[in-house]
Amino acid sequence: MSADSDRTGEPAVKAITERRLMGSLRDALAAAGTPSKPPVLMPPPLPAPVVPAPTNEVKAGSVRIPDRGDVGGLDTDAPHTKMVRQARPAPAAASGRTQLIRGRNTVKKTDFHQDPVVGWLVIVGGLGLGAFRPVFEGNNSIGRAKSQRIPIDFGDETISSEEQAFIRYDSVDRTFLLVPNLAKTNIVAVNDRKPTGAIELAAMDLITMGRTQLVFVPFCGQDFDWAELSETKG
Amino acid sequence: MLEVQFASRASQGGRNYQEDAAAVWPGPGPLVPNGQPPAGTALVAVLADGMGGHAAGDVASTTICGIFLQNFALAGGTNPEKLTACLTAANNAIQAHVDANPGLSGMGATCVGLVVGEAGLDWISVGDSPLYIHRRGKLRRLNADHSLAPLLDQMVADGKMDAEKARNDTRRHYLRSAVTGEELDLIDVSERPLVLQSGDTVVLASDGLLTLEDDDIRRVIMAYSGDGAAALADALLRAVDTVGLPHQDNTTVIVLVVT
Repeated sequence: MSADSDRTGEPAVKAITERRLMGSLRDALAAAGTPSKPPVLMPPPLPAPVVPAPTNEVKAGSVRIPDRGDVGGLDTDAPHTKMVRQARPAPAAASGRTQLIRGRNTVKKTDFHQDPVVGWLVIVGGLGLGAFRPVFEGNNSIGRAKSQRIPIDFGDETISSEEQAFIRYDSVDRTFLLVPNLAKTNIVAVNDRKPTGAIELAAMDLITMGRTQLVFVPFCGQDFDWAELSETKG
Repeated sequence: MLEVQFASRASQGGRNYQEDAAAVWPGPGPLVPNGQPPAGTALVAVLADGMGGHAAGDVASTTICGIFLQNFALAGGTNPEKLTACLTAANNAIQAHVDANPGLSGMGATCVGLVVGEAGLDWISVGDSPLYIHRRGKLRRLNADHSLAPLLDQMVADGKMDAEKARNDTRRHYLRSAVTGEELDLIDVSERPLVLQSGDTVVLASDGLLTLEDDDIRRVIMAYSGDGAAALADALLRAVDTVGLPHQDNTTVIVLVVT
């Protein structure tokens, strides 16, 4: 496709997205009149993993190996294995199934001069376009008031002043949750969904509150958590 | 020459899902890319006990077994090095899978792989799936147990915990290490090959087999190994069934009988 047809195609996209506030990030950016390019570069997606068909069809058989005769009993052998890496054991919650536990040190707040940031909300539509708000560890209340942990105080009166929604970051499982406050009149949407309960947030998810559109950009997650830093500092 | 008979069997036990997977080569696996089996390799077996719920445990265990076998022929070096490369590839595959399907986050599996070559038996292990060898009436576990059970038992030995309490502790089956796509916390690799001899029996199992005491496992092996690997594998699963735990975990066994 040539650059010309791209340019001529753009107003049409804009016309559609102006009527529809909810939509993809691309729509939101087009509506905001910015180039339709994500503002944050994300790594290219990994190729889809190949899941082979189960290869356990063969149930039995036999092979041959050289015979070395009698090599002695088992007790004459020194330990045959070596441990490759050490880990920190820790208890976890109960469940019947096989499960993994890991020791994760929780971040000591005193190690930091301020609350460590775990992600950001970037305003991509509405009042305050271009601004951002940090997301901190634990529970973050979002509202118009300055008292909120994530104040969206750019003048959009359609956002509840307090606790319109919450964003929670859990440093143990390193996930972000958006929890809408159903007691508030205004509805919060994530991408095209209007959740009635907590939903997990992924990078570049578009959150719509009132007339403001925010994109979620995580900093912590599977690749990094502040706990790692305090662990390595030892 | 020694003949190594192998057989693999699986049972769902009292669960309505099967999160175990096992694969053995020679079999319909892509282990022979150029028609030639890897030098010095007679048999490769891998077993994974999946976890994670939401039907993802079986995805993890099946993926691990498939990737593990696929990578054996591609890897170079000694057998332990090849096994390590296979485990790494399997772990990376889980990570790629979780990255592509974030809904599967938290899935994982134990993984025990073994190779029987000219030099003997080598293995690699992550998790709590046991690998036993039986020789002349003695049963020995070859791989380390990465569950909390050994730590609880140690606490009993140190007098810090009541033996009864430790045995019934619900945390016994918690894993300290598993293949989840994250860094592997604990890996157990054979230091040198265990030379096999006629009369040896090797049993690789998921922890469902631990419903049986070591002595029971030993008795079943003594009674059935003469009838061949398939008969022994069936007998082990039958013995687990006979105990009849109401929520008996999935049990999968791979049995090698050396004659």
